[in-house]
Amino acid sequence: MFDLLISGFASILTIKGILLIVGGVILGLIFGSIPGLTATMAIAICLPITFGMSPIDGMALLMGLYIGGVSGGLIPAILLKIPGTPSSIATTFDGYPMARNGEAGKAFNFAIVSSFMGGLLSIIVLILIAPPLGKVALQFGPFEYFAIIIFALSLISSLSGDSLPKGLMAGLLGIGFAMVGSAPIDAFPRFTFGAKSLDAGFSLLPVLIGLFAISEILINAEKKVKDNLKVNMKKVSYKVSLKEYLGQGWNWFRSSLIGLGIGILPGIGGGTSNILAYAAAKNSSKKPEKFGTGIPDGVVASESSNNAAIGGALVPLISLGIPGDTVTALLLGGLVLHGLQPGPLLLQNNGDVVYAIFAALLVANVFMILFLFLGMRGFVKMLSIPQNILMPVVLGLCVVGAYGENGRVFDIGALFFFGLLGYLMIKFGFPLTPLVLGFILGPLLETNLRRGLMLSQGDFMPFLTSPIAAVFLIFTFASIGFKLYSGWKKKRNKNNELFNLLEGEQ
Amino acid sequence: MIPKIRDVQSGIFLLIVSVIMFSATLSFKKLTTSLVGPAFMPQVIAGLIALMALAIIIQGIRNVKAERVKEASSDVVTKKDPKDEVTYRPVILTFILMAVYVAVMPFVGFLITTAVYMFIQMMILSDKPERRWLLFAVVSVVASATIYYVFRNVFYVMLPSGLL
Repeated sequence: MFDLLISGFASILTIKGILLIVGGVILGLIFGSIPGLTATMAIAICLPITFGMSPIDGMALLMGLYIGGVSGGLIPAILLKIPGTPSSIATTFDGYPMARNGEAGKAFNFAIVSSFMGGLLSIIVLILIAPPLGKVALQFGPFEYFAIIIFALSLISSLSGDSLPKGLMAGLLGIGFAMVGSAPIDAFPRFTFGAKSLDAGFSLLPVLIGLFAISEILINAEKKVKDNLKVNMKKVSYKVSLKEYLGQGWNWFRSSLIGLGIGILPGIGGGTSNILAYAAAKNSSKKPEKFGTGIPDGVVASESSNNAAIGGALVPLISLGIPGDTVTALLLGGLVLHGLQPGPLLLQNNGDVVYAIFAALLVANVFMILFLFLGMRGFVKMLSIPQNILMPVVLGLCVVGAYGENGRVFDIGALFFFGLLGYLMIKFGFPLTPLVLGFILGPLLETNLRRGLMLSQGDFMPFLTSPIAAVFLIFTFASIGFKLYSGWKKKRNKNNELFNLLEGEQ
Repeated sequence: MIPKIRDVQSGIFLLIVSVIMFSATLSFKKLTTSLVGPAFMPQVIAGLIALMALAIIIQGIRNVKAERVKEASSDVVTKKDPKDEVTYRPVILTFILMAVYVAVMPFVGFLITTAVYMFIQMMILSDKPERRWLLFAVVSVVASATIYYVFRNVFYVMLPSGLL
């Protein structure tokens, strides 16, 4: 395994490879730090650029974007109390008070170092557990795969957003949109309503870019008061003693493990992990009352867990071909666009790419800490670009991204259609992530179902009697049942509260 | 409260979608001998969408009722933060602009359409006193020209060049 990793490094450490990682990290940091632009958006826009590259070069760029995008969020979180990405929400709790107490440099120092350390731990765990897990998954047939996909979809649908039917609905709509065009196995054209341009179905890129970038621009258009960001970065000292670092060791380790675990579970990524890690740090602290007033513990917890979620989220993607969140769904799209077959076979057939991904992550992590320390002032300047100028330019990039894959103007139309859909879904309170996962996993689901039925000659029983498949289907029902139960409990508590309130008034 | 009624509206809309989806599957033909043809999954999905739509409608109606009870019991008017206030005019204008953009692109080409689009979009997104004509025009032209040439010559993505 070690020699594989070394050859992975060898394939990445070319001038081109390093430049791509550096470019990816910088662009990721910029997108991560500007509120309204996200890591997901950066990857969606850059996917088409990777077309002309070899898969390894393309992955190097995407990994740089991923690490940079998650890390960049800490800059506005600490300076402006605005999380640049959902991954840094909890960083604002203590990071901003620290900056107000005149300790912005210290807060940055802790945030950057714990981002690096959290990321490092999770990448090492990823390298250790993904390959063996992939080997186990090699024995899976269509029955097991069908069950795993159902499990992943239901878990993601039930966990994102607060309404179970809405989450499931979003997942189902995603599967539905993926059905437009020719059917798997027999290629029968479906839902084209006679339109020739629909025969090939919707391409992945317009769907992704539309849902995550265009919808964001529309949401931005409706805000009456635009955020005007002005920051003063003079007189900032980064000094932190080694003793203070060591004092955070256990906090760092616990938060990283939380991030890692949350990352591995499909459906909940960095956005959830930082808040959970913050809560855990507060609950186990000897001075919980100090949290929120600007102590480093909160910053360390949040930032180490969100970077640790990166390695975690890549575990199911690389070993099973199942993405856990939107960013990994986009990375899956990147693998597919390069003609690689995601899933357990990826490690067997394209082991070089997998180990290059591992190596690129480690290299990107180093560049991330380097650029954050050296280029902090530059990234802070980026924050003052007004959104009304930035957003239209970003849209230009989105159009190129959607058009580039197939060279059809139809795809630009599809881009705007999915942008509007994404906007309406946000407005009506539907989560977007399940839709993307449904769109990507839907065809796989159907293919495995029909392949399985061919194997069993039309018998549905093997889907239930194969032990691994059965376990995953039980998990599926358990996760939906749990969501129903917790929703019911919440409602009951709410009703009780309302009742008590009315009692008190009388 | 408006947000809760929205659940009912979206539920009804999605219910209609599922009915259209299901009726479209009836014309799918089976091309293989296997029991499950191309129509099976779409029918299952359409059925599940209908089921979820019903759940959303029921949940929505319940919430609307609960809201009414709450509103009747308390008459505190919550003040809105100006940051959360929204106007739909720019959104609608933006979407019309996008539609025109797609329609015009094949004839005029990427470069000019995108430059004009960016300029108008910046005007839509800015309030009247913030409209800096010259800056917007320069940024639009420079940005779209940069995107065009970088993608054409560095990444070899062919963009519609139009009549020019």
